[in-house]
Amino acid sequence: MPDNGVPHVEVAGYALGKLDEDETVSFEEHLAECAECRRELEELRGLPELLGRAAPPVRVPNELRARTLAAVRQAAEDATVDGELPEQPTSWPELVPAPAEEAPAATGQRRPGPVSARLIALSRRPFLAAAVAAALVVLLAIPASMFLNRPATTELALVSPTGGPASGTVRVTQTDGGREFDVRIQGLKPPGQGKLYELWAVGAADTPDKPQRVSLGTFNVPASGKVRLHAFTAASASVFARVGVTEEPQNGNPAKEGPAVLRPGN
Amino acid sequence: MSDDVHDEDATLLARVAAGDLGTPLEELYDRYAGRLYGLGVRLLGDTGLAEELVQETFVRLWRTAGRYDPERGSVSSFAFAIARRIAVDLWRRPSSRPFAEAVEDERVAGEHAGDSVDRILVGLSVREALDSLPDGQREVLELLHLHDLTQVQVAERLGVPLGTVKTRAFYGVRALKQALEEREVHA
Repeated sequence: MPDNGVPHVEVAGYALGKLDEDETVSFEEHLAECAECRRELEELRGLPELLGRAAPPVRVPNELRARTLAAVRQAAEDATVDGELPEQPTSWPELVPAPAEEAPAATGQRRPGPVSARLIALSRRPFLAAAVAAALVVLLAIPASMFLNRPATTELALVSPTGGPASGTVRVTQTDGGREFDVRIQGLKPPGQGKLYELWAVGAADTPDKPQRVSLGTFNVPASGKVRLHAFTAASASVFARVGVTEEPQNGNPAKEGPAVLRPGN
Repeated sequence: MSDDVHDEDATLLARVAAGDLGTPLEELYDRYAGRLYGLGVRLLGDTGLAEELVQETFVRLWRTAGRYDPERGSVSSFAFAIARRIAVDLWRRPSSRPFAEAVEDERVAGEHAGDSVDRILVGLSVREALDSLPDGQREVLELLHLHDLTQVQVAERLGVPLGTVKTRAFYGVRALKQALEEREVHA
């Protein structure tokens, strides 16, 4: 125990090289007789070097916690809908040393095994119990071949943020290459002079100051107000889950500058 | 000490694999998000990408949780292996750095990137371990070592008796060593 009468406490200063000459002499005399301090000193040997490697302080944004937890829970929910499951226990040696060719998780890990095997796997997971009942109903109604090979497709709605007539639908298909978007838009005026429309995959964290979005391409709209587009991206489906359209100046700046003309509906 | 942390981590991840996305997931976030975020900032040079790295690492950690085998390594090495691969993907995604200057690919995706990731992680772990200490102890260690003051100077600077500085340093180095071991850094 440290005690001003006994110099055990000096072991820290000694390990860090912070004792003056007198203190050093006196502590080294103590060290010769104190096995406990010798052991302690041995354990602290690498500490000064490690302290010197301390990174500058990093502040993790507070809101990242809620967003990350939500992203995982959303992925789990999507997996329930898609019949996709987290991987079952196998081994993981291939995960560590393998190079970076890992396929996007959602598609690379889909295993279209026998329906019965999937259901058994599902039923092992309590949080999926309700989904099992729903899945059974779906299974009874759909030929098994469709279920097994169908790509995961979801449909999103686009609406005008100002309550205007513009609207659209986006069919999103998960493929081995990422996500493919089949977009149909109607009721949208042609873009203004020197402007174009830009389709985005948008993350939940997107703000005007800190964009979290990936462009899916730019497009025009004819006088009919109707257009059909195809786009694709490998950007993470769990992070960039939403789709939107903005009107952008044709100035070569790839960042979002203009107002939203279509945003996700319900 | 660190064995306890390994066991706890493994239990938490097993519960996540079993579908418990409440407390176990939150606990893992609290244990790893700081270092993952720091790694992202250091590797990718962008806080937005670092945030994406954290989110995607946890999503993939959940997805692959069933593959984790505690016999083969710690949750920490499992999680950072995932993070490193996501960092490579993020780095190579052209849309994530439209105006970025050509920076050495080496740091993120190169042959020696594993070493540099390890080095960065040690620095981040030391920082996090220091930050986990009681303020008084952290302050003394930082002033002593990082600011290179003597114990007497630290006592003057803080306006506390020299004995207090020595006691805080004594308990501080012990606590720091334990906090480092919990983060798989060994002195």
